[in-house]
Amino acid sequence: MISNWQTPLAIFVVLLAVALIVRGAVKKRKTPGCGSGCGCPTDKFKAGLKK
Amino acid sequence: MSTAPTSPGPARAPVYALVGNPNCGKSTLFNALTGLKQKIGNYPGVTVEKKIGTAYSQHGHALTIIDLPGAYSLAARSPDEAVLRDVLLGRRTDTPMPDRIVCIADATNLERNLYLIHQILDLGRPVILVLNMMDVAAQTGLVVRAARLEKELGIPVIPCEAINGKGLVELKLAMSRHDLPLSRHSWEIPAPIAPAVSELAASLVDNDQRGPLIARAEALLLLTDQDTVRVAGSRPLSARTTEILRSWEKRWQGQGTDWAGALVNSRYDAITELCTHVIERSAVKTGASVSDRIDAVVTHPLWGWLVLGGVMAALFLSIFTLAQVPMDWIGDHTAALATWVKHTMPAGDLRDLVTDGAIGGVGSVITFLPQILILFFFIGLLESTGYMARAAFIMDRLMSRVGLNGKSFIPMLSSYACAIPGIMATRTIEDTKDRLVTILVAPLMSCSARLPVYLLLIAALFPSAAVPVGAKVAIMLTMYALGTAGALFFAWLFKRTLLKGEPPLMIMELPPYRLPKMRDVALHMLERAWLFMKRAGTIILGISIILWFLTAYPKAPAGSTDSQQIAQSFAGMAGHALEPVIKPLGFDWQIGIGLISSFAAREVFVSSMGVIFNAESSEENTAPLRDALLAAKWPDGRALFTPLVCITLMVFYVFAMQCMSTIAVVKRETNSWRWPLFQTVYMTGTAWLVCLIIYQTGRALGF
Repeated sequence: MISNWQTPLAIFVVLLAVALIVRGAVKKRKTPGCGSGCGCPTDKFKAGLKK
Repeated sequence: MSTAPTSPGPARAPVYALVGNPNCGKSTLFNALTGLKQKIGNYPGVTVEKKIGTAYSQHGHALTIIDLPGAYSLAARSPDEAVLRDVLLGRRTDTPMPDRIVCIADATNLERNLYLIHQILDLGRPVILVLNMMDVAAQTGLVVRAARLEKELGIPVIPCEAINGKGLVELKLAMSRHDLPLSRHSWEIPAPIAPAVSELAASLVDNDQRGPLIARAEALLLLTDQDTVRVAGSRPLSARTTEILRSWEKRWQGQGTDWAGALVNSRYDAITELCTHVIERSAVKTGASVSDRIDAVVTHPLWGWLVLGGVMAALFLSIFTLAQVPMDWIGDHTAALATWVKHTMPAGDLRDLVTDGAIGGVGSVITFLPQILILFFFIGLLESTGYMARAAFIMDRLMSRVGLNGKSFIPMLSSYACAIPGIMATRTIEDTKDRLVTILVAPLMSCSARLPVYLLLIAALFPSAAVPVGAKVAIMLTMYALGTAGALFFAWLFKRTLLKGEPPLMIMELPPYRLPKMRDVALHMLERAWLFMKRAGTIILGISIILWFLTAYPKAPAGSTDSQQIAQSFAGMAGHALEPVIKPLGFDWQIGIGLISSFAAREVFVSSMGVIFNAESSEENTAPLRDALLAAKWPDGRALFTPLVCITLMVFYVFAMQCMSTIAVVKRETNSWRWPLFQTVYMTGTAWLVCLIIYQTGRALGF
């Protein structure tokens, strides 16, 4: 059937979305914020200063 | 011939700290040096966190710049000022002490600005003094002799007009110098205090690992500040130093010596003496300035409120009128895209994911992009002209009646865009209880994430184009007013129960009005638009895809309708589980799915409705979401999205706590889970109760 290949691909896309959102949530737990919209220094800047 | 002592340049790229009073143009200068896009506003509290950027010297070498919070002195009265103090004294565990300091002073008010600079000169770090707003000083008849000031202080003094870019080349040249001179300015420490300064400084060197000059400066600060405000990340003083400080304080208390006052007065005497040599005033202009004449109306107890109301009404009117054409364009093209995909791809799960999930979900949200652009354009315009400070001044009268001072309005005003920077802006509030109350009520201000929800429901409420736009504006204003009224009510309640305290006095500087810098306003608008699109393309896309899966699985038996499929899906099960709780408010399980998904981001409600109702659409072409909502029905055939339900749902979004990111930031700012949990319970509980009253009363009256 034509739709057979679509189902596993759709499931893969869903799993990918879940993984990316979980990754974003874990990252945000370490540095909670609005995602750079409010002007806080990011981890990258802080790490750069420590060097 | 003697030469001024110099500090050899550091081996690595030097780290500069940018410091100055609030509203001295520090953020403008930081922008100009680093090219980072910063919010440029001239009301206090915009810079609430240190910002770090990279500038390049005239020779192309990288310079790291930390933009520290604005303050009038190193004596900290708020967490914000404590961060400034701790960075400069090297107390921060996460930030190295800056190698050099650029102090920015408002040339129109040099004497006041010099207090902080005078303290910084004591630190023994190389300092460059930037005299900003020289153009404004000249207009008011003030002449600041920069060369004379440079000679008196022994440090580079750069006249500057940061907003026009004048003086930047000279500043970069000064920052590029390998060996900056240390200040040779000195001042008289009162004789009774001098032994304490020496003893404290020695202990700071021996027990707290401070350099000699920093130790002396910190000793002076400890004697004037009492170090009452401490923040996380700050290294505490050693036990020996604390013991010495307490013993001197006890001795002076017994003698009746005002040691802090003596030090402050001595410093001010030195500053006044300095200013007599470097400041000249030409013929003083008589009469009120243009800013004063405007303020006579804008800050008037009656006209001021009318002006504020008019400004807000004009803002929302623009949102509804100017955005319609581009919104329709986006909506039409999004629907056309979905239709093209349906015709092109064979039927199957992937096609449904793309059309109903991704395009249906994200498309529903990005339709509101024109309105977001207009909202932030106007906010940027109001900030750029200086009007926001006046709004805070007017609100102070109202805020003080509920037990808060006007400084709480700035975080609350920021919360109209997003509660997260608003909550972080509370660091400028000195009183802990006031700060906590502001954090608890700030999310009640209708943020930009609620805007797509309001707009969708207002479109469903007034589907006919014949309805005057004024009616839509009135509903929108009512929602914003309701949120503001709710915030003020709960602030009043908390200040009288959980967090009792006296409202502090607010002293606030009203900066002069300026013509808006359209480039900065446009940059601000585009920055917010980019963030909106980024959010749509990441979080909202991801959640829409997941939501599609939750509505598409488990699969219903063959022959089931789309509605039956969703009803028995994972999402349907969750919605049905919630329905008994929300049915008294007029909401069904489909709306329940939207409410649950809104916890990730409020605007996801719109994409959730897009996923659910577009999937249920029996038409080959996707219909506008508004029409799909209006066609939705209860099982008994009654319309789901009646005008009463639309209003009730909007009110729910006004009050409910539905943003996980905000909860996370409240947890960080309060260092506890207790307050964010309390906030979630009181806000969502209020939403449920108020909506219950509205809906049941409306039904009883026949609506």
